[in-house]
Amino acid sequence: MATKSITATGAAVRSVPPRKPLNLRDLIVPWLWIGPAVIFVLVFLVYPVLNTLWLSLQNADSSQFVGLRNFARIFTDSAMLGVLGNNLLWIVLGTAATVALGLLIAVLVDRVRFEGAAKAAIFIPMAISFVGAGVIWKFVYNYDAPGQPQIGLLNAILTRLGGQPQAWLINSGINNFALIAVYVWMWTGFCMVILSAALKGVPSEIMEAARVDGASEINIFFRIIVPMISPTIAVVATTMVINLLKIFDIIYVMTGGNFGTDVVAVEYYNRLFTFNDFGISSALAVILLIAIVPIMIFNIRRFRQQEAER
Amino acid sequence: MLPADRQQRDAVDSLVDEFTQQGLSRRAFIQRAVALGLSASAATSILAACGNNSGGSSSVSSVNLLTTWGSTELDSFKAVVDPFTKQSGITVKVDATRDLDAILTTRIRGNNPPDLAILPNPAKMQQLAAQNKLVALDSLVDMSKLQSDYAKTWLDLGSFNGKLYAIFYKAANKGTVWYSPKTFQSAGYTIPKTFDDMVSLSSRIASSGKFPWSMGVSSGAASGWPATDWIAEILLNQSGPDVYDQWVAHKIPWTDSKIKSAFQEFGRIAFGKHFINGAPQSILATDPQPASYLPFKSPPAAYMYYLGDFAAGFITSQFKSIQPGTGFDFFPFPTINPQFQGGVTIGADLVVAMKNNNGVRDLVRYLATAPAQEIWVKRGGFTAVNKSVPLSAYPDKVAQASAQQLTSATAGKYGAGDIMPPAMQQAWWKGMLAYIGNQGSLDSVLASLENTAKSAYAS
Amino acid sequence: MSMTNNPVDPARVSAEKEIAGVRGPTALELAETPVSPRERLGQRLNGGLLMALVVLISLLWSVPTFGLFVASFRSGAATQSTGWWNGLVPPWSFTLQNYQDVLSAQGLGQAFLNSLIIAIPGTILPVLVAAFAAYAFAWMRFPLRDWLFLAIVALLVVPIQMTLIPILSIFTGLGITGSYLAIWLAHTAYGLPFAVYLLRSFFGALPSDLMESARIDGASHVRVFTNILLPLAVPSLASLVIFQFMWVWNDLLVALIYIGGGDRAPMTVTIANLVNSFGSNYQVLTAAAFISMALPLIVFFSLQRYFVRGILAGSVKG
Repeated sequence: MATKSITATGAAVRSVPPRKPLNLRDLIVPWLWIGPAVIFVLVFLVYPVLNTLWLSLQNADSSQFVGLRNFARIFTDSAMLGVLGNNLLWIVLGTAATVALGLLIAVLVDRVRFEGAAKAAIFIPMAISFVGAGVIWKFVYNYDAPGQPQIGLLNAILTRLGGQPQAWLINSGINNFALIAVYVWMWTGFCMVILSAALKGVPSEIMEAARVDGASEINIFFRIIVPMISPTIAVVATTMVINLLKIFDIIYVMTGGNFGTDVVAVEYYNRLFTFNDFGISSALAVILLIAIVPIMIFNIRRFRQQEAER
Repeated sequence: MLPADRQQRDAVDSLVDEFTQQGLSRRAFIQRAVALGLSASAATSILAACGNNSGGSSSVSSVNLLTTWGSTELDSFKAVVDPFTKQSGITVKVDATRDLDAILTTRIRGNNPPDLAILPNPAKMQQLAAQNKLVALDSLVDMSKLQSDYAKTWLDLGSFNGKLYAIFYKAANKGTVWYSPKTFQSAGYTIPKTFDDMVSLSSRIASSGKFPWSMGVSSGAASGWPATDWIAEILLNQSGPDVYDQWVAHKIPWTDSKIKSAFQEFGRIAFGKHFINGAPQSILATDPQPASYLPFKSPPAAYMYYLGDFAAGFITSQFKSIQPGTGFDFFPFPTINPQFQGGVTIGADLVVAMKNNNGVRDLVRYLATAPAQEIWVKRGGFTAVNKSVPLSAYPDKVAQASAQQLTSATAGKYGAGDIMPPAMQQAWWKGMLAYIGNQGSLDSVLASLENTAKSAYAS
Repeated sequence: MSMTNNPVDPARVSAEKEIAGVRGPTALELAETPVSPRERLGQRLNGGLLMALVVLISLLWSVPTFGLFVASFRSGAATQSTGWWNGLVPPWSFTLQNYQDVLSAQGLGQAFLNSLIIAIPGTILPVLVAAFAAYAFAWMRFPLRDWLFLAIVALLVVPIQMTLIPILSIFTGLGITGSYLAIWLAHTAYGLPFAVYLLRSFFGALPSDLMESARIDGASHVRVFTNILLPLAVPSLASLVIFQFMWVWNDLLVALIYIGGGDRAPMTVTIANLVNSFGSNYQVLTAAAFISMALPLIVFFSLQRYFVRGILAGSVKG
């Protein structure tokens, strides 16, 4: 059905002659192209997903079928609801910040002479192994008692200005933001690199012409650049949302999910590996899977639109 | 570490080579080993460990061992294993990870378990034994030898449903309060004998405008554990080993007044007025390692610090020239109830087996022996629970005293959190964070721990 | 949601198209309002401001890394007692000890080689497999196409931890656990959803005239793919290669599970073992971070030059 409507759309907006009906060859050839990817994905991802679905309907040691009881337990646990709320905060702030900054930087560095150096500066955090990044941010957020030399950069600045040192990762008013800042620092480079690659696809003639005609840079940005690379922006944003749905490393290493910073993936990890509760942990993973359905619907709309327009 | 050790080890190694490869007789081996300074029993146990690799149903040339050790710990363990490999021809492939739970669960469930693992606590062992994932060691090792080398407590703790599954290996004494003898002396402080003395000494220091204590419980996903060590040590010394056992087995509820009073006793230190700089934030935000430095800074930023004997490693790595016994030392955890004086909580890494083959059998036997453990003991950072390891093997006075405190403890009890079910332990860690953050939350923290216990012990 | 069942309204599509403005307004449209000299001056100021902004952001982003860099030349005791910036103030007491500790770690050379052996196929394989699939998803028509594509992208959300146990038992059943093959296959699969997603999006954005005219001229899919598509897609392939390489290079978890800590272990495993179980000795990680970062940065810089404008110049319709 999906294909039909797309074909219809394509035919409606296209000036190219209508396609000939699908023949056997046309049915087989695409499968040769996608075959390897499909096989990999079936074995390495789909099979574990089905396995998880099955486990999520059973008890902790998978000895008994319990239906949806694991899900009921999750959604009636107030602590767990707080965890879901944290994920939402991460998704909203993390995606907005990384995509906006990545786009801004990609556009800005596109027009300065030291593009390579600037890009490298933003990209380096991505290249640092997570172990290294953990140490880096220790040097930023570290808290030492008042009167002691501050090893953490933020508290050193704060105390130099006459303030009291803050426990950035403990104080529940700021700790989530402090952690999200680490994510933004790490992943803005990712958004920048991909958006920058897309930006290079925007023909310079159009921009030059606009400039010659006196269009302001801001105008060019919003009326030429953003629309032209909007498919890539959508890809990057989607990737960030999904990434943030399963955000794990930063929180696990820096706060362990304590002090109100817990998220779904950290809970999943604890239940699975520490408690060996295969029922609840699998149910948490299934919630992640369900949560991306709306995102995928958004994507399918977008792709159909792209298809219709080219 | 010391050239003399290395020399001796090398000599033993070459002796072993002669034995295994050139057919040196057992008697000649023992004679020459004794001449090198080993005890006769040590020499025979080396023989036992390396000589008899016949008779195993499956024969392997290497074994895979999973552990959380790294850095110097890993180096020391390799030094322990070297003679074994030379003797038996079995190489030991060590996989080290800080994320043992995840790797071990995955490998066991993924049908690719390591041959052996070093678990950081008995709770994990109980969990795996209950899942039927471990090999019972009774038939693999010489039980009468174990019974003479290890106190019954250790063998009991390593057992599940009457079978032995774990050998306690690298222990930690958690009855130690660290301080600087030099600083104490110049300030005229005396080592407190009772908990009340300790609190009044603290008040005295505090009233002079200084901070008596350092405390740090931050530890990533395991944040809170140092505080649970406090509670366990207090409870053991306050209410005695029987109550301790009942509590650990959840025979008495968390809301019991005895448990509450252990938390409150801890609160006397943690919430003491001007006791800890920056408390409670600093307690929650500081890792145990940097917290251990404060009493040894100049000028001292604190005077006392409670943590297990591994704190010595932290202190000596930060202050390279510090002298054990004068620069830093510990005093035994002070008496709370004279009736239960001298109770010590202990932590230990334990050896478990997931497969049954000649390599596993020989290595477990070897690791359990005193001579094998002495190798690490001499290098430092290892407290043995094997009674046959002589105190003289420890590298310095402080380590020796700590080992002695362990062996002479009136009641040696395994650290409570480490033998509770993992879900309970984690809830307790988090409960400590909540309590430290808000002294008034004690009743609700205990009630919620009791709630967790009801489900954690059920499964 | 009900999208699939609705007959698509052509008018709505073209309206959306206009909002999205894919072709963008023409230069003429933008130039409709004349620009005064004052505005030009404003623009020049804007330019200076933008430049300053770039510099500021770059510096801000570099501060934490710079701190790590300075700390990597300080002793562990110094790092843990004063802030890294104190190291910049004379008297300097820089040391190479951390680097020595890392470089002298047993088996580091072999581990570096192992990392390469893992990361190179671990990058090429998924990029290739994904490029084939993305081409088909973008430029071929076949039943269930969008649903299949959607399913693959949706799998981006699967946490790797979820796959470890089932995949390990497959590998063990096949007897390939501990081999390079196991980890290549794993990295290929884990990298695929993102790779397919990214490439399909880039491929889909290429001008259709080009593909279709080539096809009408009778060029096979293979020829269109290699001669037309790949050259045009170089920037996107380059960015994908950078990321995939980096992820595989920095991976610790997947390696620990499928390869273990033995002779084939990558550098991340060796480095993680430099810290003991209580986290002591963590200052060596500062040096280790820079040593292990070197290669991904080389890849990044050498692929930089493919991020050039004009590959598409002249091929864009309109």
